[in-house]
Amino acid sequence: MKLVTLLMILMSFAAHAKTILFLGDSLTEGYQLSREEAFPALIEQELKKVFPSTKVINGGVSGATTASGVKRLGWYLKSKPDIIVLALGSNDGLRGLRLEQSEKNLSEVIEKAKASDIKILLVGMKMPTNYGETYRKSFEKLFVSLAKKYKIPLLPFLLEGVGGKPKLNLPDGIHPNTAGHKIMAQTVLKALRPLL
Amino acid sequence: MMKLINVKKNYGLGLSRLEVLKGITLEIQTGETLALVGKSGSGKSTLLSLMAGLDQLDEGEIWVDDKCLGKLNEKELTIFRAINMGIVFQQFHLVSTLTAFENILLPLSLLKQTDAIKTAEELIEKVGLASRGGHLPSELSGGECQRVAIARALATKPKILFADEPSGNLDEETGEKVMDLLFKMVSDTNTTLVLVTHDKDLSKRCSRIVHLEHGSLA
Amino acid sequence: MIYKIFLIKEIKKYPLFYLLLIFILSLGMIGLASINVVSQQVKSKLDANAKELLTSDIVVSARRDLLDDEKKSLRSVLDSIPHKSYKLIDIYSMVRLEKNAQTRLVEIRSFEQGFPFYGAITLANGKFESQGLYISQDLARLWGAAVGEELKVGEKKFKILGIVIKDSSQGLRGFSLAPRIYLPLRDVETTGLLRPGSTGSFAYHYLIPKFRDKDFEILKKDLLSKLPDLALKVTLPKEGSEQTGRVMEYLTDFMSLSALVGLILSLVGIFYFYQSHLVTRLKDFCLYHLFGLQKGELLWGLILQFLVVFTVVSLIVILSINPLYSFLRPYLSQTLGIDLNSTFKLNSLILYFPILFTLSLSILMPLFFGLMRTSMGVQLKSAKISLGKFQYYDFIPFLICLWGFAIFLSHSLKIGSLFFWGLMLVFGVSTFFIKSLQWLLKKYFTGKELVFINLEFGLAIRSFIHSGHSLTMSFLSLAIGTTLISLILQLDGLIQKEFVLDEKKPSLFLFDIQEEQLDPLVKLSTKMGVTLEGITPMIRARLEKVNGVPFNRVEESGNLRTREDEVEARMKNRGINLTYRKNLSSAERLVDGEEFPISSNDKERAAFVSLEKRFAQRMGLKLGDKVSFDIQGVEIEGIVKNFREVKWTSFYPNFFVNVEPGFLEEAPKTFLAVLPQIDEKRKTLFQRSTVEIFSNVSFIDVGELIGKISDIFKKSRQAIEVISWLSLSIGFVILYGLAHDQVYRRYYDLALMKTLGFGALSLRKYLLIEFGLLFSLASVIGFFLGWLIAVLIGSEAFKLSWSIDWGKFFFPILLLSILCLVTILASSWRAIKAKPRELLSGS
Repeated sequence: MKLVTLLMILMSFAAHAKTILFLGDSLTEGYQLSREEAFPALIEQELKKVFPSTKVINGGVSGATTASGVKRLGWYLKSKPDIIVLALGSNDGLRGLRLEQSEKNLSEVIEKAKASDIKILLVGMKMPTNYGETYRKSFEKLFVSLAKKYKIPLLPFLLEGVGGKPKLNLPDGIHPNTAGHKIMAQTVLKALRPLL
Repeated sequence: MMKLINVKKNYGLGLSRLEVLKGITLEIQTGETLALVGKSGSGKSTLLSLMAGLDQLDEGEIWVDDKCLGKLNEKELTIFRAINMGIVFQQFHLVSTLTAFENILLPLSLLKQTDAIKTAEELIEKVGLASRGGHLPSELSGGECQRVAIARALATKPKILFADEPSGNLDEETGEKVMDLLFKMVSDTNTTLVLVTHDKDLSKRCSRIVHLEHGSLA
Repeated sequence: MIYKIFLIKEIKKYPLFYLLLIFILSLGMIGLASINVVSQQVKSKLDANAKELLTSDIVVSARRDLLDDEKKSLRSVLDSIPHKSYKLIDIYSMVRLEKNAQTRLVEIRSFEQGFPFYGAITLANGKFESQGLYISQDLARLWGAAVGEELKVGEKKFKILGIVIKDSSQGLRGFSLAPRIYLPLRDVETTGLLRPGSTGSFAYHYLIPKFRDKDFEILKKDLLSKLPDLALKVTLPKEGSEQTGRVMEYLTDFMSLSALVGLILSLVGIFYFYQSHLVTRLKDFCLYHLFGLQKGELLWGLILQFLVVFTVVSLIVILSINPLYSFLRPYLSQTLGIDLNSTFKLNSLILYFPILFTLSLSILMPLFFGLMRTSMGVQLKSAKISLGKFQYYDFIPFLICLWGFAIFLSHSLKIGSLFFWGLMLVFGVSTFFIKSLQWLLKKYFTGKELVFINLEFGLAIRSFIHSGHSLTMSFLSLAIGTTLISLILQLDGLIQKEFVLDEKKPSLFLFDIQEEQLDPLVKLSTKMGVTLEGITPMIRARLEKVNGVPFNRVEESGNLRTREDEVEARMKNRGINLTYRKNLSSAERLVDGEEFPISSNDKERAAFVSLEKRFAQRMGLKLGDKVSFDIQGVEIEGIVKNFREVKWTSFYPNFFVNVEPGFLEEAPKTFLAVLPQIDEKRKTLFQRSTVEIFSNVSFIDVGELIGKISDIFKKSRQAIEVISWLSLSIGFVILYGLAHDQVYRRYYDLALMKTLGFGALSLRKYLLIEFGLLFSLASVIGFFLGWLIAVLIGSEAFKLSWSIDWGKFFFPILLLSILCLVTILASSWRAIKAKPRELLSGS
């Protein structure tokens, strides 16, 4: 009887032990911040309170575009992630790359993840207003259509409540500071919970 | 041993021509000590320079033994002078960068004489400066410098020694001592001496006195 | 009476000496003045270049617009200063070419009236005005867009008014990711692109005509104190580009050193000749003293006399510099490649005169002190006149003045002191050398035969041993002279090497090339007749631990005020881009540690890592340190194997951290590549084709910036060359004078030796041997020490890598030797004609 209880408890823990991969760019990496201050680590801290064996892999690379997504996912598959938070695309937008190609790249990543039975949370981004309405709208739509196509949850805007606020960003005005990351962590965590 | 025949010397050209020596005829015997006296501007230095082969005459001849100085070219004259003549200057004129000993050695080395060092050592001994041989002229007194100059002048055993107011730069006492030395060494070696001086007492120590006045023998 | 004697009689009696004095001093001062003038000109031209890059005198900028109170603070500082200003906003945006509905990323430069204050925007046709839309040549080519066609920018459409073929402005810092279009700010404001939520560069540019460098520095400090937000930056032109700033620093420092060298050379000359003169005059001074002139009055008379001389020199300098400059200007302009101004201001120069007077007087003080120490009564009695000896401590006033002046002129305690102590070193080494040599020779040759090899050689050696004071003086003068010449030449060489940009100048940087895209991209470029270079892998990583201890980061506090602080913070906080490379690139040089082993099959050990020298310093890393990198989740161990130095003149991609091959090949990476300079047509074609196939690959265009920097470098090189030669000419003149004087002083000795039987040939031989020896020794020491000091100054102050330029070693020695020989022969000609009869009393 004791053994069974123990096993059940262990199994319940095991069932909740998750490895979460955050595949993104400088926003994910925590540009100019230490790893502990970036939102993936903050999320890890939170989750560990409830699920002690949660592991978070910060796969953020500053400057990364969707083009590198598939290759990098392949690299991380070794770590056997259960969930992937896919936060790529900002740099594609900032550099004005062709959105059709970005969509294609992201699709590849999603498909590859799905093939490995990994749950996906797609994180969307918005472009600054100076990029022009047409482009901004197309860019936003990209994530929406992908989420729809693959029937995966979408967090519409990673920088919700953070973007454009000087106090929450570094002097460069683009990357969030420690305070900004705290908010991002909350935003993402909220979207993540259903997947856990 | 030295013969001067109608020696003339001019300086300058044209209107500024100056006849310094107007025809000097003179004979000097071996071993003689000749005093050449005269006032300043009488031409005695000029005559000395001609006799010592330090300058070219304009007219006349100067013979030393069987050699006519006027017929020698500069190179020959230089060698002849080095071998046969010695000069002692009023201002000593020692080579400033050689020691007393080396100054005496210099003419010997120049003529590539054997036993140069031995000869120089003997000479410096004779002039009483053996202990001062390693000093530079700047470290010697006037009298000492002149003694070195005498030793140097006699180093190559010249036939004739010219002394141009040798005690002129020295005080009376030192001058006398230096002159004593000079006369002694000259007589020891039977060297002919031509002494230019304005000092009457000094001239009296010579065997002959020749007066020069306005470029002619008086 | 003093005035009558010293200012009239003395000068009348020895006009040649005073003329010589005036000549030498004038030479030194004109040298200083010309270098001053030329360097001011060059500097201002380079400043202008730098200003063109910035487009204004000072810029306040941020990645967001200034808040109201910030604008208020800005106004509070600047309203009291007469100025002009404009606002410049640079944003990226996707714009659409209406004729084919194509969109692409461009950089919009929104400008206000007045832009640019410096430099120019040149159009293919017509004049650049603040009337509407202009596009860059690059964009026109890439897009096939032409004047008159429409572009949709934001919500509005604009007609293309002109095509910009040359834009001297570069942008504040960093490069442009996309081709540029230019649109007046008032128009951009109508496009809806400037709203809350836009990111870009917001810059307030100012033109302040009356201000000079120092004023701007003060202004910057003031502004920074009133605008405390770290987001705001204040930039001055010389900070616009690391390269231009550094070039200007080098140039200014070098110029001031050359000026100093020229001056010291002339001071050496003055000392030398004045000493000879004093010896000549000593007897008369003793007589004056005998007739009642006090020593103090004597001294005062001499000082007064020197003041008069100096005044004459100053007048000469003031009067001659302008005509001299006008005469040389065309030649100089051509050589320097700079259009020199036809006039210049003498104001700054006149400030120098009192300092120069003090300096030159102070070098004469030891002689005056010696004179004061002379027992004049005694001198009159003795046959030999000698000047009282000066003591070494008599030089202290001069040395202090010299040190101070060196620092003043070079504006650097370091350079000035290095220079000064370098000279002291020369002095010390030369004195030691000559004294030791004299001692050795004396020991060996005393009492020996005069002939050594030949009689002339033997006499030359004795001369060496016994010349005492005057020999030491000449030797020192020669040694110092050649040291200074060598110093300038070697430093010139060292700096010039730095100012050579690699033949390889990039025109485009390519980045974000995915691994699988690399081969096809290379094939594409080859097909197009274009060679991609500097293909380097880039792997993102984080420095986690050093020697097992977690690497701590810098607190992001309000202490990050300077650029250096920021860079440091960035270093310690963010990740690092690693690369793997077997060999050093042509821009790199190993400075410490060992190279990576050729190959290693031992993959169990930690990877060897090579660090850029200054990066390692900032991070506090040492050789042998164990470093742990987190490479996207995977920990890789490394050991610091060596430190590298990366040439600051290289524009090719260089990394702070190189890992040895064999460890990182599997990690996710992107590639960088460089497109070297090629013609515009092929460049455009290449860009277009690449974007078609590899849409994620982006370009940064650096061609124009590099072209500009290359130009600055070239001009600097030429300037340095010209200035070196100015100093050197002074040196040659002095050394010539010295050699001539030395030979001529032997007049009576030579006459005497003639009397004793030396022929003219023999005498010449003697002189040649004696001075030849003296000169060779002095110059070998001088050149070697000069090189040493150049290396010291070069590495300490200029941060140059040392090397020896044999060409600049031997060629000048050869030249100077020939000069010396010719001088000796020429001077000896007259001296050898000395008439022995002049030795006689009647003469």
